[in-house]
Amino acid sequence: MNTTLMRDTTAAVALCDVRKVYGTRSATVTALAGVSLDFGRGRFTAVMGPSGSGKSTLLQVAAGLDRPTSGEIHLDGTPITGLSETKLTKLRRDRIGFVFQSFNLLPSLTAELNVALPLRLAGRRPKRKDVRAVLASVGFADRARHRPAELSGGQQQRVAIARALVTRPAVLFADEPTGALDSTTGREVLTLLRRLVDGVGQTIVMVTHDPYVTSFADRVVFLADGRVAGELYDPTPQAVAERMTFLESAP
Amino acid sequence: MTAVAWQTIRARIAGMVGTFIALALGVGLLAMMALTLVGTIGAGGGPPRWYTNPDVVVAGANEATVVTGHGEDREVASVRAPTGRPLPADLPGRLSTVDATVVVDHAGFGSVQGAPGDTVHPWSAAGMHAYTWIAGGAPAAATDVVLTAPTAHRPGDRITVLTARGARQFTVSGVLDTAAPAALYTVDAVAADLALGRIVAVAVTAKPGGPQGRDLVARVRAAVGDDTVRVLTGKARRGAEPYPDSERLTVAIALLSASCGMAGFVSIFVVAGTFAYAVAARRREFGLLRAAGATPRQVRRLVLGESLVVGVIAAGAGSVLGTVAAPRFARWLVETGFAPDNFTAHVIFWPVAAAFGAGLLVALIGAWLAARRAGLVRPVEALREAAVDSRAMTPARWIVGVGAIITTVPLLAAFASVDSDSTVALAINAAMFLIVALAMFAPLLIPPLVSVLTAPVARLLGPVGTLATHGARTAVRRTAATAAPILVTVGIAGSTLAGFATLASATDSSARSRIVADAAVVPGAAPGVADPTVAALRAVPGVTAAVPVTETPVWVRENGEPTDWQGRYVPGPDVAAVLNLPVVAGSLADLAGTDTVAVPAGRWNVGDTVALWLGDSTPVRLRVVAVLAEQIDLTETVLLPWALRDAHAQPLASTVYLRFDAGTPRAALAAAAVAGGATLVRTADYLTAAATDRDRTNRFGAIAVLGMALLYTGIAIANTLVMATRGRARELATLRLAGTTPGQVLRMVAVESVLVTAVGAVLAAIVTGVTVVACYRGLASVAPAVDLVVPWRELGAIAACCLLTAVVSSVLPAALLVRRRAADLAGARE
Repeated sequence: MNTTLMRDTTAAVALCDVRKVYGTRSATVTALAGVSLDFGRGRFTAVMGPSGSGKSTLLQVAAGLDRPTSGEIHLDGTPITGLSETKLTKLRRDRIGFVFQSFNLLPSLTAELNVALPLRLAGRRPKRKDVRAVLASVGFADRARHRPAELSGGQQQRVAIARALVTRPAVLFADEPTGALDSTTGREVLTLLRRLVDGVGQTIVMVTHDPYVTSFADRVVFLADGRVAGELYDPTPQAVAERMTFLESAP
Repeated sequence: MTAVAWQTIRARIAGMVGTFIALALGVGLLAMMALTLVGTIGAGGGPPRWYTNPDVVVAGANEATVVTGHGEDREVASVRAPTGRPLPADLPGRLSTVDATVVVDHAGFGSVQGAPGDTVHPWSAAGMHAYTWIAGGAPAAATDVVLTAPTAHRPGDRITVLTARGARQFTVSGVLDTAAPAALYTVDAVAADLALGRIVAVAVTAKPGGPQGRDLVARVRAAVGDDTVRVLTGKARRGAEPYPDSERLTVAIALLSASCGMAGFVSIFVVAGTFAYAVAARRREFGLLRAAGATPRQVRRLVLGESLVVGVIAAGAGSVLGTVAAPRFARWLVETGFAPDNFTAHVIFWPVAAAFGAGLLVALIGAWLAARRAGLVRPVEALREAAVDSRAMTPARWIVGVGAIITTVPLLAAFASVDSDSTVALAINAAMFLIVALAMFAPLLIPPLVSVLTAPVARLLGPVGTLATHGARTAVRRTAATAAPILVTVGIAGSTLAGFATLASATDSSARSRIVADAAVVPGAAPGVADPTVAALRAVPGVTAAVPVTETPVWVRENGEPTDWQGRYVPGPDVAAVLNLPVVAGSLADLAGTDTVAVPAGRWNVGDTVALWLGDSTPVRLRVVAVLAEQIDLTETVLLPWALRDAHAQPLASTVYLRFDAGTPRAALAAAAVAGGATLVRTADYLTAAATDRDRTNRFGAIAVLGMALLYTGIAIANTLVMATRGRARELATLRLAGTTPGQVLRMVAVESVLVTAVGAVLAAIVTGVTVVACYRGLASVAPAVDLVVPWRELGAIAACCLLTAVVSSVLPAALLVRRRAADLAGARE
């Protein structure tokens, strides 16, 4: 397709005219109405928008957790739109990390096993010290044998991030990762994410509705009514908040 | 992956209790029934009790055998008759050429009040088994008799013995005690006379100086020279003894087969449903696993691995349970008279292994089908709130449901044309398929049913009712899963009980129309009424007809096997006076001689030859002289000519039907009856007694077939509701946070469980209704009057128990849940 050639092929994730429509015959909801977007490598991109703008849907479709109704998506150079469920899962397992707002971890497994899970599912047997190293890199060292129910919210998110990182993914997707945390813990998690981008060049795409959170990102993409509605580089909370107000008040 | 599976199992032990219970009890039930059924094979064996001392026993054949095919495909099916064929009269003469002690054994009819035993044997036969004297000694005179303990009679007593030659006076010469079956002993000549010359067996014991061991056996065989006569040694000598339990064993086998079928059906139904529901309830967990990178295949394997572990342990526990319970069940069958006295369930490996394997397989299939769905769901969909089941009707449900309906239709259509004796069995099978179909289509049926059921009381129930109604209607999968055990409980109970009740009403009305006699004479403690008594009754002035009828088992060849039928020896020309036997071809007046038979309609025509085996296993070929109309109490019954009875059965009548003029003094009739050890009863009383007996048999039979199955499904109701309620923790907590008081939450849960019970009961009512109507239509053509009988009391009690179980099993776990902090629960995972 012509538009693909015009897109930056070094992008970690590239979306081309992606649409997503939900619902049954009686009630359809258009979550994404034709989104074309690139997420650059080694960059921290935030996706911002009022509620109902489709930002979570965008993330899920881009990460291969859901399928678009139409359009093309390239993940780390590989088109994912025609893949079978099994192939898609394997691709996701190797090259994507995903962190939800909450309920990331399997309640019946220890933190250690939760982190090692993607590797085990791929048939590899990670050494315990490697897993512990990943946990240490997110600042979570001493309670590896505990189950999620015994950990605080911030600790659970750290473990979730460690699991998302353990396969050394090309892209780390995060859907409002600090939404359920208090401001101090949230700041710690965001600082950790920032360090990953700066230190090892991890690509991160994060969805949020909080202007303060976007200040940790390199670029903010605004979404409204299922479409891209602008972007901002090196955002500050005030600039982002102004743009948001503008978007929300627009008819 | 195994570490993941192992950890998951350890963490979810509480959640797995439900599936464990369902499978363990299901396998236990199956194993118990299978073991008991297998226990009927080879029952009636054991060492000889009467012929313990002789080396060789010569007796007539006692098996009805069908041989089909030849060479490698040769198949032999045999049935053992209660008594053996008579031996030829010249046999003792031929055996006397063997240099050994030869004793001839007779077993004529002889019954005395106050002493056990109903046969008279020659005194020489007493030497064939061990005995000890309690009092007195051997008989010497022709009027001496020896009795077997326990008895109050003592030597010197004058007693009346009912025999085939009438009531005779004897004097007790002695009382002995023995482990052999109880009997009366007289001098040899008297015993031969009372047996009308019929020889049951000849016992040969080696003499010192004569041939011994195998040599003796060979000589006996040579002297006998006839293939149909058996020469028995060792344990096989037991085969020469009578086998009175053959009919009871046949009944026990039929009952146990039905119980096994019922147990298999409910086990498969409950286990498959429980395992599938348990997997479906973990949708969110599987969604997380998929999001973490598990392929659909890995999810399926995880589920299968877990189910295998739980399944093996549960099926193992169930096997142990079933093995322990089987002997107790066998003992209950003996106590209620459904099985012979020495019946027991031995512990054999293969039935238990079969139950283990079947239960495990069903569990794995149920889990696998659900896992397939769980694996294919996209992770994001799984993580969304799945309280509204938009796609509860899965392809699997459609396929199984439609398949079940397709199977039911021809079954119901076959009612009109099939042999009406198996109407009830057919109805119950059709009911099972219908239950499966309704359970599969439940997600479609539940929303309209719930609306219809709650419409009249909606206003009364208030907000609690609204919550419950909406909950039941939208969480269709949960409602379907919890209503299913109720459907199967009330459904199988309803169809079985209603089917039997309708059949009983049909049989009863047939029996009432059958007997046109004025009165009947029935035997007391004796096995029958002797011929001299019949003659005495006939001689009473005013009696216009005294017709004896003797019942006997016969065997007819069906599908390469000798099948149990009922035979009645009747005096053909006389029977029309007392019994209304509708004939569609030929005439009963021709039922005379020893080569004729009257058969039920459908298989033979007048003039055909029927090959069958009589009650002593003699094969005969008889000419059809009359064809009886198809009637419910005449199915699988043949009428045999009276003259045939003398050679092949005891000279006794099962019942004597009387017709007499209005003025006949009943006292005279009663006296004649009592003199023969029998009782005179009015026809009405006779029919009532028969009906009462039939009801009692039906009731115990229903308990045997249904009892355990209903217990299991009742536990399944509780199990499923506990699982379902515990899975609603988040929903209930959300309700609390929205302002519902704990009391209101519990009332909502209770109302919903009442609704679920009502849904299950309505669906079960459909099944029962269809079954009853089908039975009614099938029986209407073969009985004069059939009532549509539904045993409301029993069904009402069963439904009430289901309701109580359902309410308690949902309110109790909910009560435990509302005691925890709502905010914690609302954030909890399943």
